[in-house]
Amino acid sequence: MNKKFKEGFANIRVSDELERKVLDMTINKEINKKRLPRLVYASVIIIMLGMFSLTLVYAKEIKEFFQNWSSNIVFKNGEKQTIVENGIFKKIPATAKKSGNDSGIEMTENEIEEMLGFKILGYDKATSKKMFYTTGLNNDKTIGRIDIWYPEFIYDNDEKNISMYISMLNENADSGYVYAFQEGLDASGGKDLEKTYNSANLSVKVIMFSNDWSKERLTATFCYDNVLYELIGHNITEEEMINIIENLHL
Amino acid sequence: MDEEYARVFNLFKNDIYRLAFSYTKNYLDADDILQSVFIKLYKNFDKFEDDTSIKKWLTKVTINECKTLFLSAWKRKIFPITDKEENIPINKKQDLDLINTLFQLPKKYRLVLFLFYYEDYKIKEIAEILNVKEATIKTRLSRARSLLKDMLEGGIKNE
Repeated sequence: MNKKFKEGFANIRVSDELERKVLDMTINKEINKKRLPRLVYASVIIIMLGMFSLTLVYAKEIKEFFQNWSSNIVFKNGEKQTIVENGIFKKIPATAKKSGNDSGIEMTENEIEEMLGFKILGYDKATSKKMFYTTGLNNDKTIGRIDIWYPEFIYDNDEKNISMYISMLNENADSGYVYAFQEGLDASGGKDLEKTYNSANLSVKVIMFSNDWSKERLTATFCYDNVLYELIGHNITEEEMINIIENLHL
Repeated sequence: MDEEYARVFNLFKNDIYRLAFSYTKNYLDADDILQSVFIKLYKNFDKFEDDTSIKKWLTKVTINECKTLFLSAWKRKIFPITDKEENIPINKKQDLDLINTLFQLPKKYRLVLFLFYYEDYKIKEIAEILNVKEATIKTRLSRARSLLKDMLEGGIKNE
């Protein structure tokens, strides 16, 4: 049977084009990065020497640079909307769980809140309490970033549902995580801005957008209490999405 | 590290692609998932000790990516493989029957069959990858075999 399976899949394989694409985005990208002009290398060395010779005042400025974080979203027409400026890093307890390589830990909202020591937004009529908690670690192995995936936040049926992503940065998060938040966490392409409004319930700006490759998808994103929220709805109207947001609470 | 990554990529690319395809039944989705998974691997590559741990990690992440994709209602509107036979250059009719039949099974059964028969994982390993109990995997495998047997001509041996 094993042989039959392997033979059956034998002709399903990675195309040369796909292989080139993956390698271009990984090792070839790094090789290309390394082939910088000598002038760039010289500039980098000069800058580094300059930085080493500076005083503690400059060192203080570097620390202040990361005292806040921001997050934005860019639409397909090039327009950029700011979700949050001057976000404050959360204080994640050192005892908080670390999830390991990309495998989420299944937890409830209460368990996550108890572990983190602060509350996250919830909804009384949520369909499921099941969430998946993952951590991104800093170079020193402390937690830099936390992502929580709530797949069945609202689940009417296969066609109509909302999932939620919750993301936050820990204090002393590595710069990579800070920049990733700054550039925007939503990786879906073809974004069209649908609406922005100020939530009376949460007192935050909510940005709602669709994707040009799906007629059914509507996403709302905002920052509350220095935590980024993204609600991805399928066959959910703007009114339904707003109604849910206006009934979220800690 | 780049040479090592390229070696690992070549070693596992097709297995991971076939896993993604067996779940999604869609070439474009399998393409996207493969890219995503191997880019993640590249970012974490220095954390692995050997090929076995890399393969298991790739398998877990691929399944997670497939599940994430599958939660999108839009992505669920996929066509059964029998509607696009011309896309799969299967050499033997027997292979076509097996793969076609496999793709008619619910995804939880397709997944355990793929991991057991194609990847040669043991029950315990499959349970760890899917994060479910061994008893659940045994049940799913048993039911999957039974379904496959009913649907195929001649059935299969219990192995």
